[in-house]
Order: sequence, then C-alpha cells, then structure tokens
Amino acid sequence: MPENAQYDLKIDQTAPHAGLAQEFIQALLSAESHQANQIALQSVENGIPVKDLYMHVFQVSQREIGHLWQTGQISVAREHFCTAATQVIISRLYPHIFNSQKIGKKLIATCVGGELHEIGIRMVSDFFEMEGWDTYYLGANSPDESVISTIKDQQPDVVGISTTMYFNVPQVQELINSIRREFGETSPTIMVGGFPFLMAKDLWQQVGADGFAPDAQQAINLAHQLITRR
Amino acid sequence: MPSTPGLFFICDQKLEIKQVIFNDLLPDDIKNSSFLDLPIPEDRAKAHQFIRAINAEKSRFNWDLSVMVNGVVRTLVFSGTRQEEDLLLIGGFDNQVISDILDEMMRINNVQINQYRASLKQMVNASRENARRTEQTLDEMARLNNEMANLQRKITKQNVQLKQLNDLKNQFLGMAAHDLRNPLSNILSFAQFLQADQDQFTDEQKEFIATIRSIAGDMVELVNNLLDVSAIESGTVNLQRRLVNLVNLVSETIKLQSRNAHNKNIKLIFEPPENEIEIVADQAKLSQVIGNFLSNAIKYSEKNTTVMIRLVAEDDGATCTVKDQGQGIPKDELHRLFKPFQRTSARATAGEKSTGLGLYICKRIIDAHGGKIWAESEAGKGAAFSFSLPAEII
Repeated sequence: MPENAQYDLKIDQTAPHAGLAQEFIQALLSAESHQANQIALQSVENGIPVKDLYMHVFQVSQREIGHLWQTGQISVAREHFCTAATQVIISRLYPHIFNSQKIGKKLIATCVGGELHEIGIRMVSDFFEMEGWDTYYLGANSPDESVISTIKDQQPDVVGISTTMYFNVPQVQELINSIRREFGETSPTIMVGGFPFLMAKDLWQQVGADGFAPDAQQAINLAHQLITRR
Repeated sequence: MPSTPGLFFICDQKLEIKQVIFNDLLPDDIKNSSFLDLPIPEDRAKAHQFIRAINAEKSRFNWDLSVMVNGVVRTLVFSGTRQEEDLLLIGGFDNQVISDILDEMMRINNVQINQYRASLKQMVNASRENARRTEQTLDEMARLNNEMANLQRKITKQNVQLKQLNDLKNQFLGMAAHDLRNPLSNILSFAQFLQADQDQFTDEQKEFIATIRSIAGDMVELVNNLLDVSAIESGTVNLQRRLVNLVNLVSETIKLQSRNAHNKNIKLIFEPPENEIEIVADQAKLSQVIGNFLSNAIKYSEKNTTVMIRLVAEDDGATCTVKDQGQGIPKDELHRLFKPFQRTSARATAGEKSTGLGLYICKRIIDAHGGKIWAESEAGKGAAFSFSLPAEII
C-alpha cells in the first residue's frame, strides 16, 4: 500500500487526545519517525501528562497498527517499524518517567518464553514506575527460570505476565504454575494481560492468575487492590 | 497409508506432479497437474516462493499454503526437498505427517521408495538443525534486546538519581557559601578599617592586619565564585538583559583593575573600535568576564609588561580579546582552562591566589549569552583570551 494511502483507522474520535493519536499514527504509517517523535515530545512540553500519551496515543496507536496488520492493510515490516519507532520515542520520555517518589512496592514485568511482543508490558511497567513502583522489566521471550530467579532476588509484590499470541497462553499457565510451585504461600501476586485475555474474559482465571487488567491504568488500580487484600 | 492425512508427491522441473506416492487429502486427479494449481489462487505467489526457497537452500520445512480440502479452505504445512531433477513434496495438517510418511515408506521398502526416504530424512535433519539455529539466534537477539532495554532504563534511573544528588550538592554549596559570605565580608571590612587608621599599630601588627585583609579578600572571592557556580549548576543563570555599550563597559572594567595593574607596573592598553558597539546583554555578568580576563592577565604577567584589550565589531557579532605578555600556557593544557578546579602549569607571578573557578564561570556566562569563549597561547609567548557574542543579540 502506498505511503500516503488512506487507512481504515478505528480511532474513537470522542476519546481524549484522539486528534493527537491520529496525527501520531499517520506519522508512523508514513515512516516519519522523526515527526512522530516531535509530536510526542512537543505534547509533553505543552503540558500533556506522559500518562495520557501512553494511554491515549501509544496504546491507541499500537492497537490500531495491530488492527491494520491483521486486516492486511499494512505489512509485517511496516508493523515492526511502527512498534520499534514507538519504543524509541517512549525511551526518550524516560527522564519524565523515572523521577517519581518511590512508594516501596516492586513489580517484575515479563513476557513468557516464545512471546516477542513486549511493547505492551513495557508500557505497563513504565506506568508502574510513574506511580512510584520499583520495576524490574525482563522483556520478551523470558525463560521461566529467569523469571523465577528474578523473583527470588527481588521479592516483588506483583509479577505481571504478558502474551499477545494465543498460542503462548499455555506458557503463561505453565509459568504461573512454576511460580506457585516454587514459592507456595509466599508467591507474589500474579497479574496477566495481553490480547488473548482481552478477548476471553475469564481466561485469566483459567491460567491461575490473581487478576487481569485491560490496560496499564487499570493494572495499577488492580495491583493496589490485590496487594492490600493479602 | 500414513495415520495422519497427508500427501507425498514428486514434481518435475516444470513443477508438474509426475508421481503421487500418498494422497488421502486431495482429489485423485492431481497427477499431471501443476503444483502451483494446488493452493488457492491468493497463495500461488507464496507457492512460487516456496519452490524458489527449495531451489536456493535444497530443502524447505514448514511452509503454510491454503489449499481447498473437501470444499473447505484449509492451511496445509508443506515441506520439500530436491533430489537431482525432482522435487519431493510433503503436505499435511501439521508436521506429524512427515514422520508418518517416513514410517510408511519404511514399511513399503522398495528401491525407489528407499531413495526418496533417504532424501526426506536428510531434509528433516537439515531443517531441524536450521530451525534449532534460528531459534537460538532469536533467543539470543531477544536476550540482547531485553538487556539493552534494561540498561537504558537503569541508566535513566541513575541519571535521575545523580541529578537529584547534584541538585542537593548545589543547594548545600549555595547555603554554605551564603552563610560564609557575610562574616567573611565583615572580617574584610574591619581589616580595611584598621588599615585606614593604622598609625597606632606596630609594624608587626600592621603586617598581621595586611595578612588578614589579603586572606579574607581571597576567601570572599572564593565564596562568591562558589555561589556563582552553585547558581549556574542549578540552571539559574538569570540574565538581566538590557542595552549595553560595550566600549564603555570595557573602559569601566579596566578602571576597576587599574590598581592591581599599577602594583605590578603593568600597562593596560585599550584599543577601542572606531564606532560604539551596543548589545543586549547582562552588563554585570559581562563585566565579570572582562574583569576575570584582566585580573588573570595581570596575575600571570611579570612586572613592567603590557596587556592589550581589543574590542572589534564583526559582521556576525563582536569580539573582545585580552592579550598579555606573560608566561603563556602550553598548548596541551589549553583544553583544561574552562573546566572547574582545573589548573595549568602557569603560576601567578606575585603569589596571587586563584580559585580555579573564574574561567569556568566566564564560559557559562558567555554560553548563556549564546556566545563563544576561547584562549590562544603558547608557553613563553603570552596568552590571549577572547569571547565573542553573536550578531542577533547586537
């Protein structure tokens, strides 16, 4: 599809910052990563909270780009470009993210082994960081043993596990079982997220998680609720 | 027949199916048709790519093609290998079909089938090895990518912590310097009062008072410099910009330094430009820079020498240079000049003190004006310190 093509975008025009999201996605789809970067940084300079950018621009754009790929409107290469460009842009916002007052809570955030889609869980851990949590981000394709050994070292309050692909759901269950086996009563609270859990509402219970949240903000609220209950 | 539904056939160079060995998936009449007609039309290009991949790599494993099976489009997994001029192709719902077909071929056990079986086994082994290597590479890349992301996060966190510590240090420095300045200024003033009325003192007492005044003066300068650095480091170089006549400013600053110059019999010669130069700048801070250049020139020059001050208007700005006939600075030490607490091998000729902060403060002031600052010198040939200010603020 040519670069200036009109894409069938599904942005909710009544959502906050919808115009900004649209502009950002168009810049990414036109392979104008520099422009997309300017849009994001300028917005922060203009006073838009970084959290708003995450929720209403980056999350929306990632879902749109996923939809465009799924409906065959963009190639996998274009989809990868958009994701990589977004990751670089997010990393330029890190100085705004890592300066919050710590609240003494820890999160380990990871994708299961085999899962390469990591931008979602990275955004979630950045959100926790902004809320004052200490986050340990393990990233894509993390072997169960690394997750277990990081839990031993860091003793987190919450472990966040993400998968985007359906075929990795059994690995999520397996990782949760391994954590429960290893730590028993002292297991940290385990939350899951990602596309399969959005599609099947009770899947989080089937894999043995303590909770599921559909986005980063709700993940934080739920994490606080779950650790208070313990 | 294999337990898993599947097909195994041989194609010639033109991709025509010339022999069907197993087939319990597709219609019986696939023999003599083209392999490219097996997938649905949308997947024909993908089938071409599959054949090209086999030709390039000898065999190819796990290639998805959509094929009409019993009136329904199904995704079949194809694998293929080249045996001389022929293509051996296997298809099924998953890779299980390959091992089933291999088992079935062992059972049949005739010469031709055994040859095919050997080729297929080679293909499977090569593909497994290839898949294993690809998986290893992917794992390694994912690991490196995670490591990079983590390092980036760690560095940013540490930067934030360092910035907080630096802010705290500047705050502490500012407070300490501020609290020291007032008592030190009092000591200096009282020493000056005593000196003004010193007839009543013995020579020894006069010497003590002179020492108190000299030391207190040096300490006040150090404290003032520390306060400047603290303000600059905190990012609070607030320029009070207004229209400044540079010729007048240089002349006034020279007057302030004339007593020090006189003490060493050093001549300060100002070459003013033909026309007045007016710029929008912070007068007090520019005076601080020119004063620092002059006091350094006097400090590092021998008695009975000359310091030239030149002010030049240029197309793209104005440049002020202070050039002395002193001991100079070795070229390889010039880069240290504008950094805090860095010293060169040049020594003050009359034992004057230096805080090591003056030129650093000058640089930050000129930077804040959008200008440039530099030094030119060679050991034994004097030194010239210059700053220029850009035209846009002139």
